[in-house]
Amino acid sequence: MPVDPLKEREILVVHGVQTSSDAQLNQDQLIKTLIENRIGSIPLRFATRLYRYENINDDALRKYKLLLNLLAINPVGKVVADNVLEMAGDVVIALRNSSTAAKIRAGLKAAILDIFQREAPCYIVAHSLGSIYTFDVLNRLMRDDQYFDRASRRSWPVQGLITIGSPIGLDMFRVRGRKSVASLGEGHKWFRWHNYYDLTDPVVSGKIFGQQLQGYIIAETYLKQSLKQGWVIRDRQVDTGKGWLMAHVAYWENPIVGDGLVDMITN
Amino acid sequence: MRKPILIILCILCLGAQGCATYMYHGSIDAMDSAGKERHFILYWSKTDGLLWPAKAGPASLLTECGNPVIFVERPEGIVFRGTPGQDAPVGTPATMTQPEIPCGSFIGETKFVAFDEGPVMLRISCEPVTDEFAVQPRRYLQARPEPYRFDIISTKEWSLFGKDPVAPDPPPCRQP
Repeated sequence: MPVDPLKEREILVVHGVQTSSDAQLNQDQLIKTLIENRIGSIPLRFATRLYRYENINDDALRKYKLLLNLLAINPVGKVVADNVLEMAGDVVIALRNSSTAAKIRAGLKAAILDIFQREAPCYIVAHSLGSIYTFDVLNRLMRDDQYFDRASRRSWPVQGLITIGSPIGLDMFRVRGRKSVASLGEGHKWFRWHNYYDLTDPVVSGKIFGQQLQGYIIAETYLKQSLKQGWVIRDRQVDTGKGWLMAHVAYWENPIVGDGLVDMITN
Repeated sequence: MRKPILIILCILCLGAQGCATYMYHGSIDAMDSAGKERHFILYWSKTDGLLWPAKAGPASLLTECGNPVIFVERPEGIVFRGTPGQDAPVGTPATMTQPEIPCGSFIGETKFVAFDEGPVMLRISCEPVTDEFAVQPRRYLQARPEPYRFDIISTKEWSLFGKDPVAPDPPPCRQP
């Protein structure tokens, strides 16, 4: 089922930690607007889709939520407890590599292969924790002999990856299975991964008070000298115009992220 | 007694998010990589927070009827890092076998935060490569030994909670 470069491009958006339900998520619309604002006159047919997995997380956390509601002493405490549990719970689910995490990865893989079945070129934009699930699924697909023949991008279910506000540089996520990227082997086609981060984004740095990151490499620590690896990995430190937690959710409207995205999906 | 302290603390917290946002931009008319006269816009933003040090960049070079090119800050300076299969140094095969291709740089500038208004000298040494996945022929500023000069001006805005940088629109395509 080869990819047809002339077909409408599909940008699959993978969200990160959430406190709401699937129905309330709209990051695909934010990316659509960003592309429309930055595409200029380039003749591109594209569609955006959102891979939603918050309801899977919520189901897994339901029993803890009930318990917290019983313990919360007033309505304000209940709201705070709910939100803290939802955010921390999402991260714990990803870290524990549980059956819930496996379900989320399986759903993401199915969403990618659905686009591949339709022969559309697929590009992924993954935010925050979504970048961890995307990294896992993408690398497993690359290790599958059916996909990612380095000689032809038509065999690639994903043509390029953009991560925004990713915690992939934190030690807690650099566990077994995530210490290297899958090599594409011999050939002259290159898989592109652009990682955008704000210096004060605490999810990227792990510094709770938003102290600025030092140094230039996060995703690029995955680069190897071997040409067989076949990845072009670029860290791009971006000024979101905001600080600390506000920076973590400001990538969706950033024009530089938009320009980089436009350049990737039109090629 | 507690209420005024709480209000002061809230104001301090809000103030901590306050910042000045600068948008730096300049434009020129020059030849693109296909030899056509085009309009080019270079821009980047800088944010100077009350409680955190300034942060800025990267820069984007917009090409009329062409592709954006991103210049990032690296230890070696402010550079355009080419992608194999998409960019190639002039006179070399299009299918480069290395993931890192130096394709351009700001001359004499190494830090976005240190820059104020004035000229930026910018060099391009690669030409774009078009493959079957390109929706149109890739184009950007033509490679040449002499640098291009962009006269950069800036606009400044204050904001209490920070502000998304407002970038110049991509130049309209007058003749494809």
